[in-house]
Amino acid sequence: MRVFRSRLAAWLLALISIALVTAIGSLVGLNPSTVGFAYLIVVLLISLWGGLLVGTVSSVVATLCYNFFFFPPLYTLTLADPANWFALAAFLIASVTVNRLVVAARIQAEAAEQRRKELEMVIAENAHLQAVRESEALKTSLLRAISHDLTTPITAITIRTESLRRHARADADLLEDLGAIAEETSRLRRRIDNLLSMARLEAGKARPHREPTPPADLFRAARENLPLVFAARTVAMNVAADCPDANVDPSLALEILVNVLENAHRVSPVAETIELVARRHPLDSGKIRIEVLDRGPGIPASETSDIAQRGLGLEIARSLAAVNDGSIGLAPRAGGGTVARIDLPAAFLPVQETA
Amino acid sequence: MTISNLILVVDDDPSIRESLSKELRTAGYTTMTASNGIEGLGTFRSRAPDLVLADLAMPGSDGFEMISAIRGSSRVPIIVLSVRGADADKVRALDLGADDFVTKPFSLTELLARVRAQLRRTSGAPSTSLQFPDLTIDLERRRVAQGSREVHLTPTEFALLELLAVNAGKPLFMEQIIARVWRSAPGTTADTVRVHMSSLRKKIEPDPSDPRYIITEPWVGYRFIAEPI
Repeated sequence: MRVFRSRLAAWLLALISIALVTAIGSLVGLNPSTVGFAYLIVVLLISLWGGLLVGTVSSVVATLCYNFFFFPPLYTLTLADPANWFALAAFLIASVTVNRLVVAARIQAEAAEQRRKELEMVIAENAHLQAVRESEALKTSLLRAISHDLTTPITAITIRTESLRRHARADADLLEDLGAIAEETSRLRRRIDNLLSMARLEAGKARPHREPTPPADLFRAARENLPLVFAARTVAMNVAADCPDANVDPSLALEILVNVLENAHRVSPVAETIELVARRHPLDSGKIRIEVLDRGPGIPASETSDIAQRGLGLEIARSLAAVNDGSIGLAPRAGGGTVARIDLPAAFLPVQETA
Repeated sequence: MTISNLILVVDDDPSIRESLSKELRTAGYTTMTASNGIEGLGTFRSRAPDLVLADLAMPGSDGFEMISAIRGSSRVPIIVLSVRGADADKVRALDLGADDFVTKPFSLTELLARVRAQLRRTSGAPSTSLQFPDLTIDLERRRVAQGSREVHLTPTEFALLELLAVNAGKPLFMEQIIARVWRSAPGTTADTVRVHMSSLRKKIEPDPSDPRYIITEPWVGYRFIAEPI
């Protein structure tokens, strides 16, 4: 609609300006060469504004008007003096040429402007990418530095605590205190691990690096990660013989399991066994299910879906499970306690060939 | 009377250096310390330790450069102290020739077990039979026994077990395993290794739900544990 209006305006303007030159020229009685230059200027301006078609038509109309109103015999399209044929032809050629040159120049100017705009956009985009890259590199080195700076003192505390425990062999009171320090230190360490994992994932730096991971190896690693829990109580581990490997980031999967297990340990009496079970998912053949069963106080049925209310550890475990295309659910356990279900994608190995 | 093994501890943090050295001395080793890669390399060359414990992230010259430099001239066992989340660093260090790693914060018990495993692996005379608690591997007759019960393995399974057990305590890369056991036969993939390893583990692990001999080493491959914990 706008294009149409602007076209119409160009045609009207061409008509009016040619008419105006013709009228002024006739009424004032200008000599033909002055009028010719006036027509040329009008055609130039029209070409500049209206483009090739309007310009060309204006050239022809101007030539006809020029002939009709200014060359004898007046008010006819015939010419008395053959020399005027030459003048008129020269005018037509000049005006068409001016028209074409002006239009070509305008197209080039528009193309140059378009290129300039595109270049500006590319430059802006590059600057943005560069900024993103720099900020990611900063985040990465920052996280690495934080990880190192937080882990180093905890390592020193762990070593010194172990040393003290050895020296305190006979002193029950002291051993109890040292045990508590060890436990708190390891809890602090796991929270730092959790927060750093989350920060890495959010920084977009650590994408889960998945590989087939046997659940038994996750169980064993959990035992190594929570030596105090395993020393304090019985944890029964059972991987079904036909349970496939999990297709997960082993380090993140371990963190999920450790968080869930730690939570189960915290809420249930030490005398009660915690069970760790891994098997095929009962409904989804593409998944495996790891269950952590405790005999803690359990959960009201209304709360089962809301892991967020059950502490930072579980909340983080849920986020980490989600990044691995897994999920975590809590359900009441028959006979009292809670079942935490960690569903993870399964990895399928090729069928065993005979060796 | 044996001379106690000399261990070089390289870490930029003085508290870690001191506490580690003290505990290693208590455990019967002699220790030397250095606070960065260049100093560590200097001490390594002048004192020829039996084992190197090296932090990876140190200002100035880092652990990677030191490992490469040491590997240029020596096969001394190197255990790397890495931090959690720096898995790429850990894999790179193993690739450069480190023998093992522990992740900070590690427990002393764990570290001492790793140290013993490395020293045993590199100092023991070649033997025709490997003895582990409850597992005997007769390399000459190619037989495996769990206590008094013989375990029947396929030739591939035996080759896998032999490779891992001879290198007990050292994480082996999937590529190394494929090269050594399958002679890099075309079409052999990590999944091939996983399939055979899974059946080997079912045969030799007393409790497959809680493996004690062979464990997977994330993003690397497998490791045979000399001292089941």
